[in-house]
Amino acid sequence: MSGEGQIRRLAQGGMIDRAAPLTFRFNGRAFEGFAGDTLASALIANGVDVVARSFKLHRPRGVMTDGPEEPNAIVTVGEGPDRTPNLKATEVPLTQGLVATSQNCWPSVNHDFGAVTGLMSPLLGAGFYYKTFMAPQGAWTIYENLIRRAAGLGRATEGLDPDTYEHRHAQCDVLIIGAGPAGLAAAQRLAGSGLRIMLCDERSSPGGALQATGETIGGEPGALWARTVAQSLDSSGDTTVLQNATAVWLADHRLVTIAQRLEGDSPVAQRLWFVRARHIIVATGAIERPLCFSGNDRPGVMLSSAVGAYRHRYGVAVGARAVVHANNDSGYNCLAELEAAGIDVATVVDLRPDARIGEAARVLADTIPIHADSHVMATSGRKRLQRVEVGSNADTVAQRSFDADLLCVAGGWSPTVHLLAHRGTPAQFDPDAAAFLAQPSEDHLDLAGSAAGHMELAACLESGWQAAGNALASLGHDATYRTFDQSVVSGQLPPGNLAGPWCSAQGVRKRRKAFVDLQNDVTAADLESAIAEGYDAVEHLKRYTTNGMGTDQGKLSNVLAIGIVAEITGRPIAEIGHTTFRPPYTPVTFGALTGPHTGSNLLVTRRTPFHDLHLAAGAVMEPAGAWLYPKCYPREGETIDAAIRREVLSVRGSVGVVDMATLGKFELHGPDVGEFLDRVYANRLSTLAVGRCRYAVMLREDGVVFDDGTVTRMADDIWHVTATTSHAGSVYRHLTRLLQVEWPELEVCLIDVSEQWAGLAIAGPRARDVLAGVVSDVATEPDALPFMGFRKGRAGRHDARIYRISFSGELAYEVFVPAHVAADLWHAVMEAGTPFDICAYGYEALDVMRIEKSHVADGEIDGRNVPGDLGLGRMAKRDRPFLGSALLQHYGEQRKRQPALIGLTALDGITRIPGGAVLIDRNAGGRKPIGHVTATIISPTLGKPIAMAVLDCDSHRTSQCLCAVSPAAGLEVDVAVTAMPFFDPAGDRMRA
Amino acid sequence: MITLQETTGFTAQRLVGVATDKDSELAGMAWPDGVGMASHDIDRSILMLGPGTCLVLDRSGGPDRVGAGVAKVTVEESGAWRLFMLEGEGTSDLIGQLSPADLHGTVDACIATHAGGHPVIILPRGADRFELLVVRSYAESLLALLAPALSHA
Repeated sequence: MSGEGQIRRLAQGGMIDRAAPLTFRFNGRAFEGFAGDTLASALIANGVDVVARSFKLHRPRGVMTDGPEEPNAIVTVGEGPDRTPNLKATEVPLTQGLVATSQNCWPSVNHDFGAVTGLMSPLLGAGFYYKTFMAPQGAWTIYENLIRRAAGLGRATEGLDPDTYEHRHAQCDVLIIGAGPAGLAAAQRLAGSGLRIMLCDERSSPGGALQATGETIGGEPGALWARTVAQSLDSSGDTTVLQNATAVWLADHRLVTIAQRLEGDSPVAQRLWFVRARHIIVATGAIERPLCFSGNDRPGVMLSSAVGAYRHRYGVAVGARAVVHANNDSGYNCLAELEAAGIDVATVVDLRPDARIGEAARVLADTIPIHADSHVMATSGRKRLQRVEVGSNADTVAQRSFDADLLCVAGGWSPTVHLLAHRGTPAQFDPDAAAFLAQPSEDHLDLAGSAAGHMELAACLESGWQAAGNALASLGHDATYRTFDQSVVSGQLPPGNLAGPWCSAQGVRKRRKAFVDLQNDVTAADLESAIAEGYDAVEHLKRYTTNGMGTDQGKLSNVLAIGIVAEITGRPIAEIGHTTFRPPYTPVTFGALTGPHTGSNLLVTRRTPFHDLHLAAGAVMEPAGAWLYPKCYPREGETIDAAIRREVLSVRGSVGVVDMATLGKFELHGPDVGEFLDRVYANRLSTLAVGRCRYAVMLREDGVVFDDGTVTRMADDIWHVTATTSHAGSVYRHLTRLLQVEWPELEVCLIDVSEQWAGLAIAGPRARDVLAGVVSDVATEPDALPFMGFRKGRAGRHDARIYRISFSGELAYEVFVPAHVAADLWHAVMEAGTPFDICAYGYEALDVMRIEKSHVADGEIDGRNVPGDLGLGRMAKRDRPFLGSALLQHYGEQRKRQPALIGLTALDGITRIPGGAVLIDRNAGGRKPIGHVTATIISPTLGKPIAMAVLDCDSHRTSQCLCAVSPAAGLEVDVAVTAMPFFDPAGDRMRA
Repeated sequence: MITLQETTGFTAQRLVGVATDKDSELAGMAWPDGVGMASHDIDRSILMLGPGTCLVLDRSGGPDRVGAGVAKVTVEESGAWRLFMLEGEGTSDLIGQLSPADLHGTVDACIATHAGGHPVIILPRGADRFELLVVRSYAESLLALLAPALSHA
């Protein structure tokens, strides 16, 4: 590979591996680069100027920076299912065969049809959505289609993502975020202390800003010092170094989320770390700001710090002839880099008056002419900068023009305070630093380096050293103070005196081309317009103009915009403040967020001990909350509805078996259990005899029904309570809280045995016969085991608990055995049931039967009804208080109307009453809802449609003209109120 | 290589209301040092899950009712759990993919935590060796979540 196409690649230098050439494709063209390049550096090396088109106006854009703050070079990488849109070319590591394309352009980035929108730019200012496309009325849908086609950046991938993503939890004593000079100095001091250290950095190798400059430490290049320190950390054994790892969120209790890209042969593409630290040092550096002037968006306009970054990191010269535009001394640092890269410098344009330019800066300028108190008035060049027009700050027309293909802008520095600002502590504007600075306000959290506002290398190193000392002291280690030896450090110029207008463009025409947010095409004129319309609060301004709302999240534009707002309104920046910082610090892929929780692992699922047996029996399994539960067991050629119908008729006609393992099951031991249950449940339970069960209703404190279940007294001081599957967890928490907090004086021991016991309900007229074939040591005759009775016995070789309880309305027994022997119970029941054609039935058939019997379930216990609404009012004790009784009585007195649970049939005897339908009374006129349907079926037993419903007022019960209306289903079904239970109202079958 | 092996045939009993003073013991085993700690002998483990509450595991399927006379309440839990041994180089990292538990310096600990949302008790049993006591109904879901991580290990 010759590298001939890499016209801007320097002959030597850079941290790339020139022995590892790579080929890649960009917009269909083949290019070459080297291992260690980013896509951006490789494109620059190959002389690619236009990388993308801006979001709104489709203006040509080139690479501006060398980091996550990049606003312009947004590309799509990969093809097919591997395609990832909206990546910053500055963050994409170059790999062999990489395929990347520009976005937001057609047919090509160099000849984009969308550029015609630029001609309409005066019409597309801030808030144009609210001012245009309004007429003629009704035409919006046409405009919307066109706008949608033009909107958006990259295109989302279709198909499954082939990459693997991982999560990783970690804990450490000290987490250092940022492996620049301050972070490395801190890590160096902490190494060998015995503390567990983690160090993370967004780049592929440590060093941070040291990689981008010629600064020295201890007489050696800063980048080399960084590598040496990192190697010693690696070998120390107590420090974990994460590269390509960006800390994206600092949450409560020092939990930091870090998004890491894994390269090379790793089977995992990205890893999301959740790191819990005892102490955190935030050494995240600072980001250089651009300047706002007319024509500041052309390809070739770059941050001044990017010059050194591309030279030192990638061995790339970013142009051929440059102009430097600065408002502070640090902008002069790039002059040495430009010279070393062989780039001519035409002039330095300094916004500041001559007196404010530092002497050290002048020394760096040497013979290069400085135009003080001046600004760039315009630029020209279509696909690449060609000329720069310069005038004094007092001029209205340009006085000089310079040929240049590179304009290095230096607008000051913004410390990267995002992680702290995520915590809700606003950063404060420091006029001397011309930057927002954050102050950590919580223990075990330190800022260091440029992130803390230190802009000189020596100060950065010292602050990192000191932050490490703080960490040592706070964690109880020796923190004997030692100063970092600053005499061996030679660094670049700090910003010094920063001055000059935030936006130097004068006049509407120029300010329309003075870009503040390059990605979203927000200009100084847009800010002015928004303020004039009343959007002068920064949060409103942000949303009205979309400043800072691109994928760069305003890293270059936010502070610039605030400064311009200050100039326009005359208010101080400190008063204006900044918008709310929200995590993540940089975009995180959905894949990383999801990690391993995809496909069948998307959700946690729970299986009953009979799960495999259900599958073997042909069950269709469905999620019921976290559980996988059998819906029904269709036979060959059977529809779901037919299977459910068959199962119901089988149970009603002979016998069936259903899985009851998901019920919440709790044991309560102790002499005060009866008293406890009387306090917790609405009905009386303390009088329950040993060996008996009772249906029980539990209320919330506001008197609304919370859950229902059965209470069994297994022995004098041993009780068993069930809760519904959906409320098992919340009931257990409720009972635990009552015992631990409200009534700790009660001698009650509560134990969750839900997982220990697996149960089957055997239901139907032949249930007793089947039971007799399953259990031993238990008499199963009606007198020996009456309805709502309980016995202990044996099922084969195993202990068994037998409850005679019925939810289906049939003669039924629930048999429970330890969960790890559940299969034995299943086989025993199926074998004993074979002579009676026993069939397994699922929750659909169970639900049908409970509706036929009008037993309340989730549809009725919906968090809105008190016991009386559901026909359970007589169960509530009247002679003593219980949980919920006070407000139950209070609401009972306050209510104007008494709701009622009713049964319905369809008048035509055929049409299924729609589920979730509202009830109206045709007689009353209008269509005001007076109730709703809670459960509905076509009853196989009765051969007709029936439903349960709650009427808002019992008086409507007598209406002859009720109608169930479902707008969603487009149905209206006339219904009549009917008595409940619909089937076997006397309960003879379950008491047989 | 990391291996995952299930232990079957064990018994588990929950004991509530036990007094764990230093002079007492349970079936010849010393009590753990406190809540969140465990004591082990060849086949048995006592896991202190809360004040006065422990879980007694016997991997040999040992006798029932070890808590008789020692605990106020003894409840059988052999059916409530599944037990797995995870061992091999990198096991800590593997567990770290799913669980926020800090495994550093956790000799004789019993760590009640979650792994990817599945309730689990982690028992460190040596270098790169951990037992996972998983609530039964969650076990298959956890195994499915572990499978890709094991294949990369």
